[in-house]
Amino acid sequence: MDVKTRLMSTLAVFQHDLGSLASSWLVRVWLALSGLAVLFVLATQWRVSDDSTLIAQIMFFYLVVPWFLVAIMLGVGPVAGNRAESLSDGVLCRPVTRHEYLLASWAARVIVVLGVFLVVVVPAILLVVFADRPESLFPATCFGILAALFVVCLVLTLQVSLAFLMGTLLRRQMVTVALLAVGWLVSAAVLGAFKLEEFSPFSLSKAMPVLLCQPWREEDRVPDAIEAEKISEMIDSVGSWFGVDAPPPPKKNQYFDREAFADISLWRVSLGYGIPTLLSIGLATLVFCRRDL
Amino acid sequence: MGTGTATSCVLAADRSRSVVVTVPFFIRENGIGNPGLIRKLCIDPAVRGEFSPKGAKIEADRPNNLLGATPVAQEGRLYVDAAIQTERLTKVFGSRLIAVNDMNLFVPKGAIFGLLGPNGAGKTTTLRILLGLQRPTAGRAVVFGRVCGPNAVEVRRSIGYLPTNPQLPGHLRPVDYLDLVGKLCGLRREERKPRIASLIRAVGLLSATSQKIKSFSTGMATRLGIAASLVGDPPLLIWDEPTAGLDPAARRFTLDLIRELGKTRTVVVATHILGDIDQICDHVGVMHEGRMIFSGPMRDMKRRLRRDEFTLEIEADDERLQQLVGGISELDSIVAARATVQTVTVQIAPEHERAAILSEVLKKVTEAGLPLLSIHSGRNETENAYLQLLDEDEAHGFQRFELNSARQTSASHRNASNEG
Repeated sequence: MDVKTRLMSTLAVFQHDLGSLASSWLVRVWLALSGLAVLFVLATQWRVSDDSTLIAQIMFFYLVVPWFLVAIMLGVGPVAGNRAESLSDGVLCRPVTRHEYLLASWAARVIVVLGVFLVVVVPAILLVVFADRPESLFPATCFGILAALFVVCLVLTLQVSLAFLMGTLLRRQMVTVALLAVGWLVSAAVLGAFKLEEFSPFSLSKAMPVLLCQPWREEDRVPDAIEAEKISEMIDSVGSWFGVDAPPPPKKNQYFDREAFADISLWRVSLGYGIPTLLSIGLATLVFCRRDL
Repeated sequence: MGTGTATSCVLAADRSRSVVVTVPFFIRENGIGNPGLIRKLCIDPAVRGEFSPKGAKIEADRPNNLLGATPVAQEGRLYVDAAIQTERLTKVFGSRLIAVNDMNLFVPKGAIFGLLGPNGAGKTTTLRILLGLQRPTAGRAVVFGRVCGPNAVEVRRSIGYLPTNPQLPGHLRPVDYLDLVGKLCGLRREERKPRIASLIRAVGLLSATSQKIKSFSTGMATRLGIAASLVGDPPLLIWDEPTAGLDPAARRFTLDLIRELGKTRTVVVATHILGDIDQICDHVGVMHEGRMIFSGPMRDMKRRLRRDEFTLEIEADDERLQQLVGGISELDSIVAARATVQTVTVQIAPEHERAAILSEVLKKVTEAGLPLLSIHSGRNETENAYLQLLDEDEAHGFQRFELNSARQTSASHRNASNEG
């Protein structure tokens, strides 16, 4: 059998799952709420936050709460729950191998989740970058934006993959979602306490403004932003000695911590979330191919 | 190894008990042997065979109850021309529930095979093992010579499966769903589209093509499931309770369709509705508590219960009916009695020719000038045979266990001594 025919069944499952998920109420509601959340952040923080902080605030919903819950719900395996199992029977009793089915279903779920994220966030970022805003002390770089988008996509992929694995193992939708949600929050909080942005999305969220300011090449780095901030504060205080009223400085966001995560590495973060993602997919395939339906 | 046939040596073996025959030579096509005898070779559901340089060793449990089929050699094993064959198939769920218990199933090519059994007998589990949706705990299942398993794509390509009350994706329309199934079967667009159109028409869903599947009734969903099972044009159809939840018209349609499809392909119908099996199947397997307690042609099943009792339904008053009963009773080797107000039961002695005696009885009815409304032989024959099989299985369960244990023990002793 030629490759095209062989791929036809995998593509059919992929397209079907993609269509089913895209037309589901969960995705539609999530898309609408995501859009509203981003609008809310833009409206309230437009004049208060600099570029990188504002973009990091937009991404907060995807890294911390609440959208991880939706990613988990969408990721829970295609064979978790009675109805899903019956539908998967309808596919797997045809000439489709289990790993083809699993790969296609996983890919469809990841693409839907990433699709919603990118559809909402990318226009917002473009708005922040190209809008006529006061010059930022911490401007987001092109590399920083791409890296940040990549990292958030990686975290969302991990969430979907973990849910996929747990759904395949536990076979009960609601139990899987509840267990995974609690486990995700607790582990992220614990690892976050150690400021491990490679493993904790909470820490990663706090480090996001630093990542957003990173240049393509090291030699392109602008004078250290933190130093620049200190100089700016010094000039302000000198001005005040001479009775000159400096414009009110932008309010510092207490959540984001530039100093603690100054050494953030895209490479380490990619490995930190990428390896568990690959492990989850591998284990899910192994479990699914060996078990009864 | 090419196609080959075992010789007439099996015929010479003792047919009344289990046999293990080593065939002294192996006949290739146009080789030694008598083709006529080869055609008559008795093949049992439990036949197993292995080839060696010296010849073929064939093992059969009940060679006297066999079909005339040609064995085919594949990969060093001997298979008859079976669509489905299972060998000691066992499925245990979580060390608690034995769904299928050491089951040997044989479905000849081209048969309409009824898999009969009460709820929980293991029918659906067996079918799911064939499809690779479940793994056997022990034993194996073979479809058209290919071993079944989760990734046995070619096995599933040859099967069109209809589950009980099929769960279909409700957000799709029937054409979209069949198109999806066609893609899953690897059909190209130019092949897929016309087939879908003809199937939609064949199952009578032409007027429902604009509806979403979630709005379908049970009957419509079943018909769509039937169409889906036929999209890949498979040589084997496995339909699990295809008439469950259908109204009489839809049931009739489904049974007619099975009969029609059975002319060109092998059909396996799992059901607990005896009437369906009786109408359409030429072979039957009866499962009970995970075991196959009968497997063979339908006529053999019916033959198990030869009924010598007939019921005549006659429109007459009490007095004339009593006179008729008296008249019939005068006939030799007949016991007649009134059953209800309008029925007379006639019991014919077993050693007598039933047709001749019955014609005498009908002559008496004609002479009495009474209108005969109906005549039937008690309950449905298949139903009787089926219930009798279940009763026997219940009654002899312990005995069978002892027999099997003894057989296995002696076999293990034999093996041990051989190894020694």
